[in-house]
Amino acid sequence: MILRVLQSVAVVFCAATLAFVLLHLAPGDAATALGEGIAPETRAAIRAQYGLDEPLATQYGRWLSTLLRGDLGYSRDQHRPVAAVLGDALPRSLFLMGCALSVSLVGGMLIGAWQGARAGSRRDRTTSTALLVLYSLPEFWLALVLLVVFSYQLGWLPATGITSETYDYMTPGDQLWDRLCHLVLPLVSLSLVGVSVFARYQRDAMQESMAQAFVRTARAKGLPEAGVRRQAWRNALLPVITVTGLMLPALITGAVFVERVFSWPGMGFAMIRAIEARDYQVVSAGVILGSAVTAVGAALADIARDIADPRLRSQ
Amino acid sequence: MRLSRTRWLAGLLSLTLAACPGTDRGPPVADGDTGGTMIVTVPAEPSTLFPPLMSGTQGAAIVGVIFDRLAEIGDGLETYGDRGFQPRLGTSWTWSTDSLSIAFSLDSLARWHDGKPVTAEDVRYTFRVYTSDSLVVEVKSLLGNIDSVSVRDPRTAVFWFKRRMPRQFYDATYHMYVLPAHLLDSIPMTRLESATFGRNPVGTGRFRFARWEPGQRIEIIADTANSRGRAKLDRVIWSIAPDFGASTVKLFAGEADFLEQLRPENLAQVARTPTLRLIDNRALSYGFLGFNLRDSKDQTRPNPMFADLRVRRAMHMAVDRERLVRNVFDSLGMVALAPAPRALIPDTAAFKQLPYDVATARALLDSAGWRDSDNDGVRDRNGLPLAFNILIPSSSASRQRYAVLLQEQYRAIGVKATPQVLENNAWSDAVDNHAFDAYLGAWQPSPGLVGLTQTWASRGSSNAGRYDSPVFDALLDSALTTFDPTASRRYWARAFQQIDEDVPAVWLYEQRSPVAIHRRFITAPLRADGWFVGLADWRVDPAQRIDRDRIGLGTPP
Repeated sequence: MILRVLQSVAVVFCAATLAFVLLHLAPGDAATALGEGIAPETRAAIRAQYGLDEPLATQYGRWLSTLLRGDLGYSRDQHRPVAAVLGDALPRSLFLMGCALSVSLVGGMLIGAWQGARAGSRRDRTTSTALLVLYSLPEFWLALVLLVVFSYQLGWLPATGITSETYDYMTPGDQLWDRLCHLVLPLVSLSLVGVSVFARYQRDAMQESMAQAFVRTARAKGLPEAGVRRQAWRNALLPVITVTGLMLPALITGAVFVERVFSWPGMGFAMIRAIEARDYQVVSAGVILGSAVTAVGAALADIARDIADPRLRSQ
Repeated sequence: MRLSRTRWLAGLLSLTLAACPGTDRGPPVADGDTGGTMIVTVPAEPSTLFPPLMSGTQGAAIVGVIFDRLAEIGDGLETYGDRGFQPRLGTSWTWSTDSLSIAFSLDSLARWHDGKPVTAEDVRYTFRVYTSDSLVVEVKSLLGNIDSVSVRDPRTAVFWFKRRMPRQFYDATYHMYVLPAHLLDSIPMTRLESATFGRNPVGTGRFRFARWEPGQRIEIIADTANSRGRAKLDRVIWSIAPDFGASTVKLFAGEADFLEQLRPENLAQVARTPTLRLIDNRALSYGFLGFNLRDSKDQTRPNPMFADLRVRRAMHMAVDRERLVRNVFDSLGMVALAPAPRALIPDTAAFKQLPYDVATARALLDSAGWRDSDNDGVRDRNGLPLAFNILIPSSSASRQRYAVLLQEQYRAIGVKATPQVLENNAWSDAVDNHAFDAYLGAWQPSPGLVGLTQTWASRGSSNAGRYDSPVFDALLDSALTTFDPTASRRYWARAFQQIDEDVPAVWLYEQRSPVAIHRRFITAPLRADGWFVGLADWRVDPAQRIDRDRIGLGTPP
């Protein structure tokens, strides 16, 4: 366990360092990010103020020492501490990703298990084709289509944001409804692809499990079909649990585009803004958080696998 | 359920109190001319609302309605003396006999949004902040002629100038929003940038700050106690939607009321939407194809192509600017005449422009020695092809279209121009470091054209193409320093004529930027340097109010 934690810390550190260095190597800096029409002397003053004119190694050393003191730094673009920037964005992203992961997991497992129990049937083939189409859709494209259809054409759902602009003036009931309405499109955009991924893994695992000897034995013993499938499904959980851990980075990547399209002010939204503004401290801290979430997700998936299959614990 | 008599009486009493004007039992209710909510959809969130550090159009709009200047420039954007300026926090002003100082009398009724009176100390403190070395303030260089600000008495602030200049009143008033010393003075200058004031500003404008939900929205509400009268709208909310598609969906779906930066392709859609209308907005910007007159790899040497005036003239005359404007902007653009929009150029009728004349362009290139010696369709001289890249920032769709059209027009005279789209930071980096042969740029000059020295004079640090003309420099200096408005107009005309003949750039377009707004709003004409200037007088037609207009002022945050 300790080794696992150390490995995770090393991965997080390497990822953040890589992000810091790569972003510095990209053309421009926080001074050029101010846009057109800024006098060179103003840009030079910005560089001097934030030490951007110093060698990369010096900047890296300063960043590292600040980080080791537990300080994530200062966002030049937003004129506030990085911790405050991430403190606003992270809970919103975790909420969206948590909802998306739950919907993807539950939906994918239900569909996959249903398919796996009927593997090879026409219904299975039809559903598999539909899921394959869904799986091939880029999330940002799907998000744009949903936006145009449900917000612009039909006007059923709000286009952007977490809440309406007049949210603060609503009754508590209306506020809850408003939040739910704003959640629908980003959630659907993120979940649909996830559902197809989980369903494919669950279907294959279920199909394999249904062909196992213990299933034949259970049927021979006269166990009801529902009971047989439940046993087979438990046996088919392992691949899905493993995929859940691996899905976290993919979800984070997808969330970047979906957050952008729906103006969901989460981590993706904050990271794109920070990259455009060459806000190095925010990007590095964001990478640290993203890597940490991924590492924690993988660790949780391992724990869940151990619970699901006691044989793994003894290994 | 029956209510007791006592409860009935209490309820009746509270209703009566709420209905009485002047009581503080509940917010003022929208009535007649006042009331309404306007939602502005914007593509970016401001970095800060601290006026000295504010940059970008979104921040400018919000700061511009929360804070006040000492005096407001007139609609004609006249910068000579104090002509056309309207009183704001300064109700009147007195020039000294030698014109080296101006004493501003402050509005005795003016109050900060926290209720404290505005004093001359606020004005002095404001000048200190704007000129502080501890902060990077963009407009600091424009305040160089102001020596100091002193306090004559709590209601009188005196500006002292180093030199008598035609635009010293403009310098003292236009660039600075007055700041509250009583809230900021205790914060060290080096800490002002990170002070919470930037996210919770207190001003004197007819709107006051209400709330900022990071990444989502910024809300301002009418300041009901303002000495100049409350803003007619109850609130304005800037809703942040970085994706332009999402912004337009918000507008067309009725979730937003106002979109500033419309693209030409959206105009027809606005026209088809019965709830929306367009307002003309003459943006003070111009676009150009700038040439580097020095070698992009060695600044000490002249550019092998563009150092030659004949080549630059040929490049100008080969471009059908009128057709390009129609193609890219349709009716929303016009050909730029000089490095300034028409609204700021005196006597445009007198300008002689180089004509569109492809035959002459070819002849000029021939005479400069650029001929197609190897019949590959591209002219060359001493083995060097007449080929260059046009740098374009990736954020500008219109400039990308321009680059493609320019490429075609230059191909016709045997010049190979290759559009090169760069990410915005990379583009800025290349232009700032003069690492280009040609680039498509756009400038937004401020009234008075004081920034022209910075952008096109030989000593100007933003003169990316290294245009160097002592004649132009002298004419510019004369135009900016003479006290005779007629002579100034004459100098300006000659300066622009000079730069037009020197062709350091091809002036391509001036853009009209109409805004889309919901029809229920009754607005004033938009001022060219900022649509938001008269926002406090915008109102909603009472007959067309929608649900969000009836919220009232709500519970103060």
